[in-house]
Amino acid sequence: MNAANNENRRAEALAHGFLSGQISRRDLLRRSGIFAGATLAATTLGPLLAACGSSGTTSTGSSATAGAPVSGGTLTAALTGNPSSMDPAAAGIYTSLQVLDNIFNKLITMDEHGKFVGELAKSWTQSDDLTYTFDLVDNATFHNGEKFTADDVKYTFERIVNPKTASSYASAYTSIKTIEVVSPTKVTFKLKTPFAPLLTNLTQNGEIVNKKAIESSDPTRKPVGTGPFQFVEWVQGDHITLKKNPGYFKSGQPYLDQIEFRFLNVDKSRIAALQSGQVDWVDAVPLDQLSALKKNPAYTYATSQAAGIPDFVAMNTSKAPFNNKALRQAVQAAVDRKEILNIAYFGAGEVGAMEVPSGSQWFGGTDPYAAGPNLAVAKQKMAEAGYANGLTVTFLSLPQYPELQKTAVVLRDQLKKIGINLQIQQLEVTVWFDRYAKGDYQMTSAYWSGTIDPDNFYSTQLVTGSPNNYCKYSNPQLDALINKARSITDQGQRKTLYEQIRGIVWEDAPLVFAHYETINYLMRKGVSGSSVNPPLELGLGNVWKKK
Amino acid sequence: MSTHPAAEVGATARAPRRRLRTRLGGREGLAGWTIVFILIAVAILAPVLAPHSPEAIDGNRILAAPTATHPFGSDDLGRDVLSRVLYAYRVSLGIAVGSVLLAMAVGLPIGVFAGYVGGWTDLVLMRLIDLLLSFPALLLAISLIAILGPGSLVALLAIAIIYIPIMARVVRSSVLVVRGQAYVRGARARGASHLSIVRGHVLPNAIGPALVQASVLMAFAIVIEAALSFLGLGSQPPTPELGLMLADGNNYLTQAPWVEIFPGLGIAISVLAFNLIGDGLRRSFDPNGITR
Repeated sequence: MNAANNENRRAEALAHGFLSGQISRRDLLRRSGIFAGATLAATTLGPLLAACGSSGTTSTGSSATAGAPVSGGTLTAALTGNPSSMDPAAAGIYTSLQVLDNIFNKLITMDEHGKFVGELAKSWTQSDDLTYTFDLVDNATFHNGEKFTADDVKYTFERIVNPKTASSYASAYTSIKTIEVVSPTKVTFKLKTPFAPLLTNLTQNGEIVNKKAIESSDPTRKPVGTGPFQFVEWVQGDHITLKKNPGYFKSGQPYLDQIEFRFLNVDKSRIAALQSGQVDWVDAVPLDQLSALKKNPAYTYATSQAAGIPDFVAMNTSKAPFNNKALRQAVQAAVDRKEILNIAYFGAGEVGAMEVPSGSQWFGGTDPYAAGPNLAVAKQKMAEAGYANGLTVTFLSLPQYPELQKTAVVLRDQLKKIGINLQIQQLEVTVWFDRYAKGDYQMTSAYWSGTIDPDNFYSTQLVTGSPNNYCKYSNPQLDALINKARSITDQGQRKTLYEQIRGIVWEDAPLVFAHYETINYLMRKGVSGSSVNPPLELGLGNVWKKK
Repeated sequence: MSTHPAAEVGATARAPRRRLRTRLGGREGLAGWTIVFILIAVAILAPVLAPHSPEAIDGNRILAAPTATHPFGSDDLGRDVLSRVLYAYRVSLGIAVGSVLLAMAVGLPIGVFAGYVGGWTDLVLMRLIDLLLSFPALLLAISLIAILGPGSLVALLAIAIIYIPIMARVVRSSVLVVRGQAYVRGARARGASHLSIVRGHVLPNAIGPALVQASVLMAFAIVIEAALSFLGLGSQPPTPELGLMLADGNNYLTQAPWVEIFPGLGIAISVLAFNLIGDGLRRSFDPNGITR
């Protein structure tokens, strides 16, 4: 109970930070992933959180052009904002995690395509629904000289779930009953209840820390991990410097001698810094410049078809007019997602078909409007809904996010064709969120992650009574399917279940997927090896830079 | 304002043939009036003049550069910037004129009453007005919008409320000057009623500075409305509105400056015109600088 309260408080603090402009949307996205995992706390954070969870991306491979790795050099990387803390259990913020990804290792991670790969765990097995055993590497050493063993794993996760740590990811691991150290290189996780997203959560948040290092100094300022780089200095508001870890357990890595992270929160200044040669690598390329920069031979571009943020049009199913299923179906049939992609997003990202992107292992099902909108069906549904003569609907829009705002205008144009007149009302994020959360709206743009594991999306957005179910949707049949899908661990069965779930969502249309936003990195041509993976780790251990 | 030629209040009598131009504010004023009339004509005739629909989205012309058919280029949704600027004058001028007229309708009687009656009435009314004046203009507008919700009409109302105290103060000061004039005291001695004195003597002679102020406030109204829309608090998309267009264009300033520049010029020209009128009128009507 206490833990749940803490979780709520943290979620609310995060929401506040976001709403008051201290945290950018991207930060929020990554941070919210923290909450998306297990028992999503009863927070009011809904859409904010969602986006964070599944912001994984995989690289297009365009950066893998440059032949054999070369060692040496300093890489300067421009992140989207200031990090908050260097303690992996406390640092929910996206930019903190991007730095920590280079100082720490997790047990497992994901490759660009969303496949689990071992890091500090060489291999893992699941003996039954409740038991996971990890075989650990025996040659990893913390930067303070301590050898990495199974005790560190036990300490890390017990520390995360300990309410005193106030870790933002505690909820991702509350399903763990015990962690048993079998030998220095073998550890067993026993769960209270079957929990399918466990491995996914391990790839998102679960940097292994060392007890001695945590207790002997300030973990928020002096991070000590097993990762490819060691912490050197953090000049608040300016830069963080890391240097090569000569004793890194992956042989040959890292290639770079040093990394300098700079914090540039203005999109245009990041691009300007890249163009002027002040930085080698930038995060979050502004979409309007993306197509030009992508083609520019001076730069290498990385994105992923396996991770990002689903944007959708939410309809309030608890109130007129959208408590009318036929009307929602009319909207679903009339929305031209290809046009939204091309116009509102400058062609960047993917057509929004479902909660995961096309590169995800979970992608599947038969999207009824894959071929485009069907206005004949839409008009017929309008008549069926009792609105043959059309109606006027208020659409809440968020001018802070130009793409969502533009989606509203494009949508207005599309729905006009079937007689729905959208009146766009721009709102400040705080006001918008309040109205969205309370169900004081008819239709709005929203976003939520859930990319890595579909459960992140469905169990928060559409389960009856879920605190983040802002469509106020209730469908017992769907609830049962979602709960079933999260508690079985057979991937094949789960995939089939999620296809069924999507079928119901497409048919009933409590929300209409509008777009899938992908993640974009851009770097100078000489930089190779950087890719986007689903947990959105910025791993620079295998990145090299030509002189 | 016709019975008492304003020129009589001023120190000098001017040659009759120059009177009209003087009333309009001299050469400057004339230039201002010309521009304003052209802009009003543009606003009224926008459906005829605009080459394209201001709301037509075109996926093939996103941020497209100016061409012969789209002389001002296209914006981030492929909409024709020229057509949007032309239509935007409807909203901008409507709000500018509407808010000032509304402010005059409320502020003028308050100012005349307070100035003419004086004493406690003046004191109480003016303290109330000061209360309104003590809020920064934008803050007041934003608070109102927070209560009433965003929209063009609410913006008009908010701007009018900002202007009421300004109007009332200016009118009051000039009424105070006029009230002490010999012809007013003469009328009193003649036994004229207060109402007829106000109508026949005070108002016509005191209105000059108010008109000067009105034209300057119209210029400000355009800027405030643009600022509100820029902040997302004025007109709602996809209404073509200059401030809203500025807010859009701001994102693409380096790649597609035309999305930003033409609405910006649009604002600049209309503000310039009203300011020219204001300066001209000031020279003619308000040589003592009451509105300064």
